[in-house]
This record gives sequence, C-alpha cells and structure tokens, in this order.
Amino acid sequence: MTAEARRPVVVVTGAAGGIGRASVSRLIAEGMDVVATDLDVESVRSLSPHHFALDVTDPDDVQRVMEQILARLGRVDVLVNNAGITGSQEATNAGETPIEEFDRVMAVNVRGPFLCTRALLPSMIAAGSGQIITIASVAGLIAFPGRCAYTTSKGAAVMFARSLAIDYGPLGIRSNAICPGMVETPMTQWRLDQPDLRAKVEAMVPIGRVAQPDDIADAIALLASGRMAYANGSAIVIDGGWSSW
Amino acid sequence: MPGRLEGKVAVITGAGSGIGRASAELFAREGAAVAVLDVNGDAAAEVSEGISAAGHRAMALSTDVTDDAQVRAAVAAVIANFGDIAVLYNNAGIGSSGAVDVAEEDDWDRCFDINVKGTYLCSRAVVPSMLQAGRGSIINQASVAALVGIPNFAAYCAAKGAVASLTRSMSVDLAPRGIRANAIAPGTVYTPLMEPMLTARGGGDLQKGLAMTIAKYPIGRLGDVTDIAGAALYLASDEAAFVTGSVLTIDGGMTSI
Repeated sequence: MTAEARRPVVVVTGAAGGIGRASVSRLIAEGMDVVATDLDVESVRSLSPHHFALDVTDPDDVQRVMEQILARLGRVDVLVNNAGITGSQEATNAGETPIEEFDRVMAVNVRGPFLCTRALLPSMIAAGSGQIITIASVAGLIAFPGRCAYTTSKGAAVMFARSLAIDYGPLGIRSNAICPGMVETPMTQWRLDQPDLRAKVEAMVPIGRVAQPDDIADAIALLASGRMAYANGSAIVIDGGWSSW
Repeated sequence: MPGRLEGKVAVITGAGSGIGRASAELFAREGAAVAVLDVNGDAAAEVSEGISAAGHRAMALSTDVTDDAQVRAAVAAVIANFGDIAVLYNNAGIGSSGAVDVAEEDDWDRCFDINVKGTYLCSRAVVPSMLQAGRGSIINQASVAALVGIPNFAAYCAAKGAVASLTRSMSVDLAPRGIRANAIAPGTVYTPLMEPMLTARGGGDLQKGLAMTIAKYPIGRLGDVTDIAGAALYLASDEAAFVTGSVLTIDGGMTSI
C-alpha cells in the first residue's frame, strides 16, 4: 500500500463557516484529503481541491453528492457533521419561536447529520471502518437562555451521535460529538460584537475568553487522526470550563 | 387515607436541624416511625419530642455518623424499638470552604469523614435489617456540587461527587437484593449550615452573598428544606419502586444553565 492510498478522506459539511473553515485547513495540513461542502460552493472553492455544493436538509441532494464524492475519492473515512445554524433572532423562548424557524433549525442541526450519515453508512459498513464526528454544542448539555430551538437541536445531536456509537460500533464505525462553548465565528459575531453581551459571555467562561475556531478544529483533527481511537459515544466538551459550574 | 410511608421505619441522620428535621417531620406525618439521629443529642430530642407531641412515632438518638460503634448501637436500638428498617436517609453532612490550594487538610478529612464515610458506615449498619425485611430504600444526600464545580468549595465538591458515585455503586450491588439506593442533589438550600458560606461569598455580608447566589438560580430563590424533604419522601415511598441509582437534581434549574 502506498502512503498516498492511506491518506484519510474526510467530508466536512458547512465548510464555509467559522469552525468548518478552520477544520478544513487543519485537516489538510495534517495530510488528509478533505472534501469541503457547503450550501454556498463559491465560498469553499478556495479551501480544498475537493468541493461540492450541498444542502444537508435535502435528501436527494445529500444522496447524489455523497455518491459523487465516493465515486471521485473511492471512500470516505470520516464525516464531520458540522453544518449548523442558531436560527433567526426570532427563535428565542419556546413560546415566541415561530414554528417554521424551529423546523428549520431542527432540519439543519439534526436531520442534516442524519441524512449525511445515512448516505455514507453503507460504504463505511462495507469497508468495516469509518468515523462520524457531529458538532453539537454545550447547549446540548446545558440550556442556552432564550434559544429553545438551538438548545433542543443540540441535545438531539448529542444523542444522535450516541445512537450511532452503539448501533455501529460493532461494525467498526465510531461516532462522537464535540460540544463547543461560545466560538467566535460569523454565526455568533452579531452577539460578540455587542460589548455588553460579549462581557456577559466571557464572565461565564472560567478561562476568560470565547473559543476561536482553531480551538475546535484541534479536537476535530485529533478525532479524525485516529489518535483517540477508543472514544466512541463521547460528548467532548471544549468550552473553557463554561459548563463546569 | 393511609400515609405514603405507613408501617415503615425510617432512620434519618443529621435530623436535628435543616433538611433532616423537615424530612423527619414529613416522614412521620406520612405514617413512618422515625428515628431522629444527630450528633447534637439535644437537637435530636427536640425534633423527636415535637413529632411525638403531634401524635406520630419518633425516637431520638445522639449519634456521630463517623463512629462505627455509635452507628451500630443506634441501629440496634431502632430495630429493638420499632422493628426492621425500611428507609435510611443519609442526610448528615457538613460544608467545607476553600479552593484546592487553600483548603486545610483537617477540613478536607472531616468533610470526607462525615459526608462520605458516614454514609458508608450508616448504610453498612442498616443493610442487614433491610435484607431481613426483603426491601429497603437508601437515600443519600449529594449536592449540585457533585455535578458542577462550586467556587471555593473543593473538599465539598469532591465529597459530594463521591457520595453520588457511592450511590450508583450501592444501587448496582443491592438492587438484586431488594434494596434501592438513590441520591438527591439539592441546589443551595437556606439552612444554618449555609450561612457561613453565604456570608463569605458576600465578602462578610450575608445579604450580598445571598443575592449573588440567587442570581445563579433561574427559579429566582434558594431551596427550602421542604423542597428537599418532598423529594426524599418520594424516594422513600413505594411510588419510587423502579427508581434506583438515580441522582435526583432538586435545584431550581441551577445546573440547567
């Protein structure tokens, strides 16, 4: 087997976002073949020679794109279910959240990982190996005030990762969730740009700062590298201590 | 209407004040014969007399839960007086302040002796009686400190974490023999035990410390002893017949944010 043949193939969804972008660069730097996918393919074209437009909420699109990826790269070793949204600023408390907005958050954050994983499982099962990394949130462990849809979706994402871990672990496929705290990304910038909100968030974090996308890419790269090969069903918290008190 | 603990014998440690006292009074009203144990024998006697005066059954025992001989003697006295024990509420506990680098070794040991070893000694002494009866419910007092870090409370967090783990261990080992074991994880409850901690948190000002603490509670208040006694009653009763190994959080939402 040549060294080239052993390069892991990693698919990252939502690659144009903060964590997605940092992860793609990091995984490429570690010698992996990375497929960058995003709704907006133009924004990921420069990230990797392998890039695809992908709407994770559309079953037909997911199936078609994953088949194309498998055809082009031969296999997928790791799927990073990273695409996620917080919902509009209307998506607040349960009583105030518009129904369509709740559905949209769940469609991207929960149904998306389900569809993407489902499309790649047959090839991973045939290979007898594979790894699913789902980006959840500490909101999957503790509730974010006034963010009902997001909190609910991330709790579901953690348990989706665990469900995969127990059902497919015996087939050589591992699954873990990563639970970032507040990360400075385009998705969260509107909050962090308000000095009072930023100060409030920072006061909650024992380490005294919000995370940078690279902090999360570190964890994704560690899992993808296979250097944490006994982790299965874990919810790995990367939050500067936010949820520890 | 029969009480929810009719015909049961309940032992409650640290029952001379606070949550233990409220639980003793509630358990007695629900039909249990209650053994009120406390290291402060006068406090235990006062609680026991109050329960008796209200027409319910109680006895007081001056017991240091860290002393195995005292624990065994107390358990033997309860069985002689009331019969086999159905419920043990390991409520006796103390706080211990200080971050890990300033916590005193003596305080650390004392915190573990009372909160952890006391729970172990009392459970060990009561289990044979529960086995004799073929059933039993052990309730251990953990804390939200078993789940999250409380600032400047290193020994207490560690000890309560140990109580939660001991509870799970007990539930696994004793469930096949008919004994359930669960823990309660209260948030901050306003009891005399908490006042030094609240005062310290407020920089010497109790009211300020109280306000700072309440800010962590979505429900907008600290717990009351009756909030916890109600949870203990549930775990003690047959309504919780399928509940074992649980750590029941009663914290006004404190650990949910």
